[in-house]
Amino acid sequence: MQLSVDGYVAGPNGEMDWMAMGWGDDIKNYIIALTEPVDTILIGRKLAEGFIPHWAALMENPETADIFTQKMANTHKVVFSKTLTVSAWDNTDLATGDLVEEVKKLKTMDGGDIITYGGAGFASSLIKAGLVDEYHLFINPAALGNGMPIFRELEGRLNLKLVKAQAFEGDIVVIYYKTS
Amino acid sequence: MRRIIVSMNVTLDGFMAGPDGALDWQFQNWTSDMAELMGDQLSKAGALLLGKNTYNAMAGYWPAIGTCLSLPRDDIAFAAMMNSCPKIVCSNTLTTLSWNNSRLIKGNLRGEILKLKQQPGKDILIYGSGRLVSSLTRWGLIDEYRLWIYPVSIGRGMPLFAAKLNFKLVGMRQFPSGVVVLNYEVCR
Repeated sequence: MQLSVDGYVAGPNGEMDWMAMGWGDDIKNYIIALTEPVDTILIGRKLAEGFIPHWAALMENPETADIFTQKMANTHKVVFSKTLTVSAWDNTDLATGDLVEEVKKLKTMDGGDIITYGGAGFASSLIKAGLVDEYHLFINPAALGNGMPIFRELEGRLNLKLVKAQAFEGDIVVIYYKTS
Repeated sequence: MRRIIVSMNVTLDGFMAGPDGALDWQFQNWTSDMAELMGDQLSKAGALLLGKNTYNAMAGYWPAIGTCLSLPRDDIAFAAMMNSCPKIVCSNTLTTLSWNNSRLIKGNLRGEILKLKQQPGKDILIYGSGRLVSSLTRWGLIDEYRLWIYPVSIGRGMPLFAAKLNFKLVGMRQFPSGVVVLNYEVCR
């Protein structure tokens, strides 16, 4: 997920204008390598409603339908929602039951890695339930002071193990942590 | 114009201390390579600018370390730097300056800091001093933040930032302890 230096993934009203625009090839290649073994994207409903059409639209245009876009658009998705009853999207299932149970079930199945890009509420729930194994935090060069956090629902502390930090064009630093 | 550089330990979720100022989340990650970076920072600074609480805590600690010959040489050398460098403490209530080479700023803090920046000299470094840093941040007087990001989220505490700020990344280090240091210049 994209983070401000003070740990927010969006402004108080979901603002994303603070995120560094114009990702270079270096950061896209990082994500392509990271998601190579990924066969499932988990996503909260609110984010899905923007995320899925966004990548579908980029696929329509040959100039933007690169490997990076293809992976985002074509990977099988599971949208978590308590309100939807039917998935309106291609290659996308709904998960409508208890979040923890649904994700635990997915993790026990055979298959590749599972990734989530949020949203804030969905990620907070996963983190609180201890279901996340790796964090790739894209630290953007901005502080927000207020906004949507992802570690706030935990009771107590979460200690992580640093694997690697890397700086990219646009002043983004990706910090990769594993759960200890 | 002298620059003010804040060097601050922070959690992943943006806190510089826990509720009640708790700092225990920092101690398990301290290693000698981190101390070396701190020494390097300090050697390039012309003065250490501190709030009262941090000043008093340091004044009660570093002088003793400086004379403790059983400690590793690097620790003693760093302590010697801390003890000898010029310290400027900001407080309206502090009456005794118990630490070597210290002077006091009181009264119109914003005006005094602006005057300080206009004097000739090397950059000014701030360690800790959360409340001082919050005030200086609010007044736009900080030029660079060096965030020592610890691999821990603590959920509640004293946030370092209270408002939006944009930065330019000017340096990065990472340590086997898990701490990542990100150096950001403030964009104006």
